[in-house]
Amino acid sequence: MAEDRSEILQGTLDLMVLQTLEAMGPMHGFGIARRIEQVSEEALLVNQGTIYLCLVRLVQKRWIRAEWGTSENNRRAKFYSITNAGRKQLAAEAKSWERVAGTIGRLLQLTPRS
Amino acid sequence: MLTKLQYLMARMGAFLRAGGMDRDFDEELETHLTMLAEEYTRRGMSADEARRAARMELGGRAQLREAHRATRGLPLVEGFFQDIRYALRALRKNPGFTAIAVLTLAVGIGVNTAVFTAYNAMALRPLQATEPERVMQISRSNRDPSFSYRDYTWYREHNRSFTGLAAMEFEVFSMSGVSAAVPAGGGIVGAAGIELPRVLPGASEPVNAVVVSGNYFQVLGVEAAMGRTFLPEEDSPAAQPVLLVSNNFWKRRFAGDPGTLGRRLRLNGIDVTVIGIAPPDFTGTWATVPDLWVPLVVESRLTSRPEILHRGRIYGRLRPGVSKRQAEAEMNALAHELRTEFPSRTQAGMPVPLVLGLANTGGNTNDNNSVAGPLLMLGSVGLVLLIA
Repeated sequence: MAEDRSEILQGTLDLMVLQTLEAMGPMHGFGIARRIEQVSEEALLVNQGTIYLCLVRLVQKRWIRAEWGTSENNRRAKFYSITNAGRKQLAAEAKSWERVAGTIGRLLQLTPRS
Repeated sequence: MLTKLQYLMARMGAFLRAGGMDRDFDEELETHLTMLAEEYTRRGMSADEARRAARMELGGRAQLREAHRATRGLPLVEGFFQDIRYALRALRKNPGFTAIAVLTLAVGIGVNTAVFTAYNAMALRPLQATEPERVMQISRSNRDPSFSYRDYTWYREHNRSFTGLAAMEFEVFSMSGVSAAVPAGGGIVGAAGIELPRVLPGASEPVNAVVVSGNYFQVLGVEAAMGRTFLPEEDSPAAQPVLLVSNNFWKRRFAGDPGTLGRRLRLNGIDVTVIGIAPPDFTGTWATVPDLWVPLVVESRLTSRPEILHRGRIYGRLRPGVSKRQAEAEMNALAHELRTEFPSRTQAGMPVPLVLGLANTGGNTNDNNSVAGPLLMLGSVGLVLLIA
């Protein structure tokens, strides 16, 4: 594994999963994991098992729902899709993430006083 | 708030159908593995290699399932059940230890129940009398409750605190002339056509009696269930000897025959007439329910001992408006007079003050001295449970 892959920040995986489902529509666990890795250009270390822990938590919070369906290769798979509550949550989390990211970005732009 | 509740409900639901959720999750993981392996095969791996690589990528499955369970269910509750399962396994592995633990617990619980039942019957249950809280037992502060007949008559004649002072004593007599107890219960024995050996006519049997002063039942305020209780006159040497049988004895020995009333029983060779049957809930002031009650004077006639009441116990009903403390003060004053009137040769040393306590069948729960014994017993058997 590449050394420069970062661990995912606690809590950000929820946001990534919600955003992926919002953008891509219903997907199975494997697809979500793949998608996140692709988007991050494999810079993020997504433990594929962890995705499922995240998914079950989101289902229980009713932000996403799960249904058994058939994959593109005719395989039985569980498909996840975002709910209305999930969309609201996504909007709220995205906003808070942007705020944090903006703050950190500005902090990092501070130049040392010479 | 609502979402939190829903979340908790979801976790509880997951906890309740953990088995189904496990299978569900296994299937999902399996799909994931297959998809991952397919991808690796596309990249040029052999089927076996791809499968192995996929497994490594996904991580330990058992571990994952455990984490999945912890995320979706109620880990605390599950932990509790795991502890119980572990304890059961451990017990199964050590049958000796298990047997000892179970035995100790069983004995502990049994003894506790028995002791408490006895203690309850003896001390906690109030006396079956009218206004039992007004009935006092007179005893000494060193917990010696026995008085002589002379003491008793002195207090009875001189006190003004009690509506009446009664005395009692336990005695065993030999009863004869009562033939053939009707087989108790009849049931099985009769149905089987067998007859138990019966008491032969003329044979004697011991009976437990409580010897009481003529006013005993009046002082307690107890009426007979059938017939009547003693009259004060029946405690005089001229009176015809009479007795009262306990309800228990009447049912057990006379099969509840109403003809028992007025019958003559031979006690220590003297005929005594049954004049009453005590009510079923009346246990008396003795630790066990006696078979019968006889007046003091009958005792002296039956035992031909010159002295009546050797270790008598004295009970009194407080007069309305007289407090326990006032009565106690008066009794101690009387005791002082008694000592000056009859200077006793045998009672040397400091006189022991008299105390009053609620009369009940056994100990007196209001008196710390007499409560100590039973409490010690209750405490020690309680310890057995604690150890177990």
